[in-house]
Amino acid sequence: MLQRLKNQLREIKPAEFRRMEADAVKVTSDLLGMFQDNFRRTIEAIDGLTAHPQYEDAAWRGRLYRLSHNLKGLGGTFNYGLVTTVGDSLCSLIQNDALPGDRSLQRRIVAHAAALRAILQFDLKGDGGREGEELLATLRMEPATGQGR
Amino acid sequence: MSSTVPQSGRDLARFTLPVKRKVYAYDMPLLDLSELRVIVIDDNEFATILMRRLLGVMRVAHVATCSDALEADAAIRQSKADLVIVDIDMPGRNGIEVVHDIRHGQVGIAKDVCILVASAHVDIEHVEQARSEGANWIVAKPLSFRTLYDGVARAILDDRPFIDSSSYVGPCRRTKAVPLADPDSDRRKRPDAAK
Repeated sequence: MLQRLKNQLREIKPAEFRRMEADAVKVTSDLLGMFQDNFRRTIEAIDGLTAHPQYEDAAWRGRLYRLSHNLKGLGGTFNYGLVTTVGDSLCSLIQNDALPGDRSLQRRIVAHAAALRAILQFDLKGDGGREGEELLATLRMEPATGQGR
Repeated sequence: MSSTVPQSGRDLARFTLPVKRKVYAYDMPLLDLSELRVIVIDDNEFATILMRRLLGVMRVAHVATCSDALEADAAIRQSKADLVIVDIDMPGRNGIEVVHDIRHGQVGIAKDVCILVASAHVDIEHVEQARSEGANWIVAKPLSFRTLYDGVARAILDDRPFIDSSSYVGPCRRTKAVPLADPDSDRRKRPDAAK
């Protein structure tokens, strides 16, 4: 693998590298805004789906899965680890074969959508700290408490 | 079993690069990457935009992207990439499978192309899977300029012998075989040790 790259690489000066780092900040500064817009639209789409649930419909589940998966990737790319965690968990729930007939799973889907809204509303970056822990704890408690819809 | 494992320190000399390689876990040399050809395989639109922009700042001249892992093989062939950056979790076909297929010659490019896995899933299970399938390096998302650069540099400067056997294809994983007393080994020296 190295033979092909041999003689194609040269070292650059630290000052040049620092300029690149500064340029990187400039060229990526607008992406966070794009991410937040996309995040908001995706959550609205998830809300739209969960407002009219069709758990038996594979196409409906597929749409919900794609949106959740997209959020997962977005969270990972823009330091919203909590979004990735909740999105990942939501993807697992949607893939559960028992979902069409299991009210507990269905309640958890709704709870996950609410958790994503909360992350957006309170702008919980990274793992969300203590608030993030509390949010994840409510998701874990959801099936036992049966407080979902 | 065919293997390209060097049998001695002398054999290793042919892997020498024009820039001095630093050992793992320390800073990478600062490289001009303008001759590098890269393909990014990631189903997330924002991840590909971010990486394309960051690689552009690094002056990587050729950056191709592919958002559908099922079509990645053709895209990789077409890109003639020196480095494949691949996400793990993608619908239809995950990045670990892409790495496996590249290393086993099922993609139609050289098996020993540099592979960097960039994923938010960097738990031990995924890291072990990526390593077992022959990835050169793994970086954790979210990516910054520095983390992406570091991953790219580590992947392309990876001078471990390439193993092509029936049970494993990829960079040699036997790091423990390097003796501590070996004067040719830089794996356990600090970069400033010679000063």
